[in-house]
Amino acid sequence: MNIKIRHVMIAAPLFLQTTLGMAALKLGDFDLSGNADLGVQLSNGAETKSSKFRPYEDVRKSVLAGASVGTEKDGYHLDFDASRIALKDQSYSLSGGKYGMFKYNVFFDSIYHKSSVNNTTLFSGVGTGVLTYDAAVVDTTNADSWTTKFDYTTTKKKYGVEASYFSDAPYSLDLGFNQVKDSGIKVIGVNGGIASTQGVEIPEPVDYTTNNFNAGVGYRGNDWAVNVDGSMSNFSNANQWMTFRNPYATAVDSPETISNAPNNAYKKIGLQANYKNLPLESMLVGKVNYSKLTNSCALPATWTHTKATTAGTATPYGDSRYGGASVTDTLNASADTFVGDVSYAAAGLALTSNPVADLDTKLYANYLRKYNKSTEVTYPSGTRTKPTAGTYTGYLNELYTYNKSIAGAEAGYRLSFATRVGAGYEFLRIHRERDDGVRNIDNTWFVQARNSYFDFIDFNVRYQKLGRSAEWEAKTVGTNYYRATDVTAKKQERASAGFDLTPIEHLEVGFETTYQSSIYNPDGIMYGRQKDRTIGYFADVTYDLPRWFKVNTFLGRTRATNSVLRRLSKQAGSAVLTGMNAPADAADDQVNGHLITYDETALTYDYGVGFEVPVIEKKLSVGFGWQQAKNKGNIALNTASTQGVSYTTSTGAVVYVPRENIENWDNYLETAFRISTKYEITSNLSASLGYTYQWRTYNDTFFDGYYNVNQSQAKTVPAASSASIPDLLVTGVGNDNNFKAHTAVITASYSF
Amino acid sequence: MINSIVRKGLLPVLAVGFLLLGQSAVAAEMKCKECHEGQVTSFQGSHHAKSWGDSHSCEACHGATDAHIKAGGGKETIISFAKKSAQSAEAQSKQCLTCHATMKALQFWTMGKHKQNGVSCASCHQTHGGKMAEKPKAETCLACHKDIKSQLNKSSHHPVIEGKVSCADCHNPHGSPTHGMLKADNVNQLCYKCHADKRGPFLWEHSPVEENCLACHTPHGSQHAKLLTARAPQLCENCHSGAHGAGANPDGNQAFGKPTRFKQVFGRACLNCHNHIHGSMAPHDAQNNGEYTSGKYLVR
Repeated sequence: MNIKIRHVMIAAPLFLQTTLGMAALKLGDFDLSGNADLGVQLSNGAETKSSKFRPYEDVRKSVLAGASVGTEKDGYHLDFDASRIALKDQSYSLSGGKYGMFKYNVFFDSIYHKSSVNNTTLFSGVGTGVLTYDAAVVDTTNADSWTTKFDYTTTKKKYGVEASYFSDAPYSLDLGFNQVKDSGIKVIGVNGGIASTQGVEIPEPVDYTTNNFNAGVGYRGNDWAVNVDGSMSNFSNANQWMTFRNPYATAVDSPETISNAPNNAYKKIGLQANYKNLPLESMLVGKVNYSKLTNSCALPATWTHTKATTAGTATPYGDSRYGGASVTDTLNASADTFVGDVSYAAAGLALTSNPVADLDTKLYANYLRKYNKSTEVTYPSGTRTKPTAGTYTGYLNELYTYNKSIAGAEAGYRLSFATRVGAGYEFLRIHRERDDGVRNIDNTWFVQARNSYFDFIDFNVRYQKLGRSAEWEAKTVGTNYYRATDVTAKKQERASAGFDLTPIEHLEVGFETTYQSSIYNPDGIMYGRQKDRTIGYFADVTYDLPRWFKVNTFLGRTRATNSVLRRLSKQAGSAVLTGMNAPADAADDQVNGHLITYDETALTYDYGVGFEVPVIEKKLSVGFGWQQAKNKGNIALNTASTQGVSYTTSTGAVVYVPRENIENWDNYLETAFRISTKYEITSNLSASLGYTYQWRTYNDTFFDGYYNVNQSQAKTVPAASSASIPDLLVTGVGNDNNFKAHTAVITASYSF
Repeated sequence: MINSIVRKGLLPVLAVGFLLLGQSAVAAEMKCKECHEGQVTSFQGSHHAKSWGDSHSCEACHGATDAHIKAGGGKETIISFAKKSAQSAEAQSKQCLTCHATMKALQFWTMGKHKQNGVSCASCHQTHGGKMAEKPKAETCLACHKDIKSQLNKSSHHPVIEGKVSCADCHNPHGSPTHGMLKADNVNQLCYKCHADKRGPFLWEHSPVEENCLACHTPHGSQHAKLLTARAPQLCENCHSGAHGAGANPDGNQAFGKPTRFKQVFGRACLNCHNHIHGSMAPHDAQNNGEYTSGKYLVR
C-alpha cells in the first residue's frame, strides 16, 4: 500500500469534515453524538518476522478506520461502535434498549493471535487434514528443499445477538445466540518412529465452528427471585482426524493418523434463587446446575505405524530403532464407536446475615460432581513377533469421575476508626475415581483487616493458611514416591498487604506485596516438586496536576522458586551411584536409580513511566511512555551427580558428562517506547500522531538453534550417537522471538 | 394498571404530580449548582440524567440536603460517593441498590468479595458521566489488582490489555457463589466457553486436565508460553517424575547445542511427542510397544 503520510494528514481531516461536519447529525428526534476516526498505521514489517510483536494485533501497514455513534432520549439509547475496520482484529457492535426495561446487542468480534511466523515444513497440504510430500522433490534430511511456508496463527471470529427484557414487571427474559469460527494453523509435535527420540512437527488445521445458544427466564417477588437459565453449545471440527506421511516410514502410501479435537454437544440448565428479609437481615441464595457433554466418534479398527523389521533396512538411518516399514495392526477393540457422556451437577447454598450491627456473616456450601459414563473401550493384550517377540499389555480407558464438596463460614466486623476485620474457614473434600490421588481434604482459614480511617491512606492485610491431606494409592516398588503435585498433601501459606496513599493533593501512591509458600507431602517422601515460594511487590505512583501534566509510573517484581527432587534411572553400564541424596528408606532407588535436587527460579519485572502534557490547553497535547517487562530464569543444581549424563560417540564409546546449571530459561526483555501528540484543529476535529519503538530479546537454553533441525544436520553435530541424537523434523516454531519494530499511527478524529 | 388509572381519572393527577416533581428536581439542582456547578453539569450529561429526565433531583442519590446547606457544606452532612466520603462503602452502595437491587447481575452481591472488602459501586462506576453500564475496562480492575496487572504484562497473556478480553468475561465483579467470583461453576466450565475444543469427551482423559485447568495454566499471565505455570519438562515432571529415566531431566548439558541433548528435554520437550495432553481419541495400539503411537499415552 503506497500511502504518503502527507496525503493522509491532508485527506483524512478533509474527508471527516466534509462527510460528518456539515450539520448536527440526527436520527429522527434523536440527536446523535460520537466520533469517527480515519488514518493509517505504518510499520517496518516486524510483524512478518516475529510473532511476539503485538501477538494479538494486526499491525500490517494499513488504513485505520473506526467510528462510534450513540444517541439517548427518554431512557432509550442506541450505540454503534466499529473499531479497526477490515483488519484481522476488527470489532463491531450495535447495542440499544431502554434503561430499566430492555436491551440488545448485535456484535462481531475478531481475535487474532500470532504464535509463530515464517515456518517451514516438508509437507504439502498445509491447512488441510492430509499432509504428504513427494520424496522425489523433498529431501527429508535437507531443510533447504522444504518449500512450504506457513504461519502459526489463529483467528477467532465471534458474531451473534443477545437481548434482555427486565422491566419493573416481575418477569425477565434473556436470549442470546452466537457463532464462533476458529480458523488458522497450529503446530503439534508427533512421534515419528518407534524410538522416542524421533519426531516431526505437524501443521494442524484449525477449522472449528461453535454454535452457542442461551436463554433465561426470571421471576421476582417482593422478597425473592428465581431465575432459570439454559444453554446449548455445539462444537464441530472439520478435521477430527488427520493423516500424514511419516518421514521415518519406508512406505509411501501408508499415511498415519492423528486425532484432533472431537466434536461435542454441551447442554446446561440451571436454577438460581434468593430469598431475603429473613431474620437477622439474612438472605438465602441457592443454585442448582446440571450440564451434559456428549459426542460420538467412530474408532479406527486398524492403526498404521512404522515398525522396523530388519536391522539396517529402515530409512533414513538404517537403524532398527528408527522408523522402518509401515505396518498396519488390527486393534480388536471392544467397541467400534466411542460415545462420550459426561455430566456435571452443581449445587450451592449460601446464607448472608447481619446478626448484629456492623457484623456480616456468610455460611455457604457447594457441591460439584463430574460423572463420566462414556463408553469403556478395551484394547486387548496379546503376543507379538516383531521387532522382537514378546507379549504386550492391553488397556481399558480410564473414565475420570470426581466430586467436590465445600463448606465454609466467613465473618466481617466493622470496628471503630474505620477498621474492618474479617476471618473465615473452609472445608473442601475431593473424591476421585483415579488410580493414584483418591482423596484430598483441605482445611483453609484466613484473617484479614482493612483500615480507611485517615483520608490520605487505606491499607489492608490478609493471611491465609491451607492444610491439605491426601489419601494415596501406593504404586509398585520403585514408584512409591511418585506423587502428582496437584493432588498430594500440602501445607500452604499466603499473605498480602497493601496501601493506597494520597500524601498530597493530586499525588496517589499504591503498593501491594504478596507472598505464597507451599510444602508438598510434608510428612513423607516424594519425588517432583518439594516446595515453592513466590514473593511479589507491586507499586504505582500517579501525579495528576490538571492543566499542567500527568505522570504515572509503575513497578512489579515477582520472584518464584521451585525446589525439586528428581529420581533418575540408573545409567546402563554404571556401577556405583555416588553423589546421591537418597531418602534413607528408598532402598529401591538406591539400587535402580539416583536422585538430584535443583531449584528453578524465575525473576520477572515490569516497570514503566508515562507522561502527558497539555502544551496548549485544549489545543495541543503531547505524551510519551516507556516500559519494560523481563524475565530471568535459571535452574541451579544442588546435588551434583557424579554419574552425569551419557552419550555414545560415533566410535561407540560411552561418554559421561556432568550435569550443568541452566542459565537461560525463558529469558526475555521487552521494551516499548512511545511518543504521541494530539492537535485539536477545531472543537470537533483533531489530528493525532503516534510513534512506537519496541524491541524484544529472548534467550533460552533449549531453544537456541532450534530451527529446522533435520537428520543430516543432527548427524554432524556431534558425531552420530545411537541414543541421543534429536532426530526432529521441526518447522521453526519458537525461532521468531526477537524483533525490533517501528510503528507509526496517524489519525484524524471527528467528534459530534 | 394503566387502564385502571385511566378509568379512575387519576391521569391528570399523576401528570400534575410528575410536573411538580420535575420542577422540584430542577429547583433542587439549581440549589446544588450554586456550590457544585461542575458536578451538576457533569451529571446533566450522564446516563442517569438522560434516563431520568427531570424526575430525579440530586437528593435521589445524595439524600436530603437541608442539613448540608445549613451546615455550609461538609461531607458529614451529605451522602457522598467521592473517595473521601464520610459514609461507609456499604452505605454508599445501599443508595445505589435502592434502584438496582433487582438487577439479575446483582443477585449475588452480598456474597461477593467486593462487598465484603468494602468496595462500593462508586469505586468502579461513574454516576455523573461515562457509560455506567459499559463493561468495566481493565484499568478499572487493575487499579486495585496490581498483582494481576503485573501478570498481564508478562510475555504470555490473554489479550486483556489489548482490549479483546474483558475481566468481566470471566469474573462477575458483582458477586458469584464461586471462588474468584467466576461466571461458571468451576474453572474448567469457564475455560471451555472459549476453548470448546478442549471439552472432550475424550477416549483417553488426562485427569488433572479434566479437574482443573489451573493445574498447569495460570490465566492472567506467565513468563512461559501458553500461560503455563512452569515449562515442560518440569511442569510434566511435577507429576511424572522419573518419566523416560534420566533422559527427561533437564540440565544445561542437555540443551540443543550439547552432545547429550534429548528430544524429551529441549524445544517442545514432552510435547514433542505427547501433544494431546488435553485428551485423545486415538486408539491404543498395544502391539506397537504401546506408547509410541498410542492415544492412551496422548501421543496421537
